[in-house]
Amino acid sequence: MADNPEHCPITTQGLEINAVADGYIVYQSARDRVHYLNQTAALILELCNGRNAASDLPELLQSAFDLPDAPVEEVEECVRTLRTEGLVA
Amino acid sequence: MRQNIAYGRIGRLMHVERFQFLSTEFEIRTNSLELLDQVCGVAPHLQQEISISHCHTISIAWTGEEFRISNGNGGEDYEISSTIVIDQLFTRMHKLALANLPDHIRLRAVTGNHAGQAFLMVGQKCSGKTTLAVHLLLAGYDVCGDELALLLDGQAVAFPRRFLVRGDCLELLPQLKSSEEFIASAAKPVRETLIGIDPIGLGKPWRLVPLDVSAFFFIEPNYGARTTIQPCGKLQMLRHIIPQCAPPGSKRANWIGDLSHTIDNTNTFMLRLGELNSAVLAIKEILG
Repeated sequence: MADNPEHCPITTQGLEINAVADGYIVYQSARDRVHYLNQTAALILELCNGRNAASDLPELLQSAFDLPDAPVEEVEECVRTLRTEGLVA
Repeated sequence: MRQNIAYGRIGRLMHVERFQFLSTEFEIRTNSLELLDQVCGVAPHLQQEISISHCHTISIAWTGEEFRISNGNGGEDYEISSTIVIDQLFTRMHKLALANLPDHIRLRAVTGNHAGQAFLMVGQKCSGKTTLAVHLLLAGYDVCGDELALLLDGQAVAFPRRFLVRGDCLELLPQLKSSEEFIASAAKPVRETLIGIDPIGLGKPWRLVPLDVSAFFFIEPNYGARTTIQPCGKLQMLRHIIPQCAPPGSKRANWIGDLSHTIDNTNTFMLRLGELNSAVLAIKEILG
């Protein structure tokens, strides 16, 4: 289901998300791990709110950063990593 | 404050001395004046502008054959060697003092005070923190702590203990080599030997007070070269600093948030530590 482009990824519950000037520090108490997200990864995490389809995320990033093209592969890679690390479902 | 109290019934003379470690005061009671003199010789003597909220009594009784150490909780330790007794005593006091600050984040860092705010120099073991700390002290900076800093809500305070310089680093501190106190160690420098130094012994004031943190420096060794300091992003600084932290004893939620917020609101720098005189100049450019 997660590979379905229409799937709406959602941030895992129970994460401690702390914003700093250049990204997010995310503490995952379930695994006692700290994750360091740069501004792009932080925005993708924010957009994983259960209402945005995975297929829509690249265009949302394109709009947010005023990019010439939608960063499809980069966003898919980031979402895959967030999922692997247990930060999104 | 030394008190000599005679107990008429048991005929023992008890010597008493009090020591403060941040918010905890310890009353040490012993029948061995010689031991108490040794303890006073090792203990840090400094001004601490922190209210005392906890008091503990530790008794050390010399029976004629062994020392018995007790802090009144029912358990006793027994030792023959006064050196080991003193080591155990300070371990106990440090442990209890830290336990009485359960919400503070513990950070492996040198603490300094400048213009009414604290600056912290964080680094791994053997990165040169202590040698740099002593060099800054001798250059006139108010460096008040080595090895352990405690953080809470954006403020830092050093844990009161002497600075421990490795014997083989004395040659980097030529200002000390001529001092009588260090001549013997300087003549035969041994890496494993730790030499205790404190600001008062160097003729400087020594005062601890919690202050807002204005700057973090993360130290990376760059021996043999000139010291450089570069601004560092917050995420990168946290990536360096978090491994040098221990969580608060209370395991309070969002201590990482507290640390992140502190770092986000300070100036953060990578300090590639080379030659010490150039380090002082580089730090002066940043702190003023």
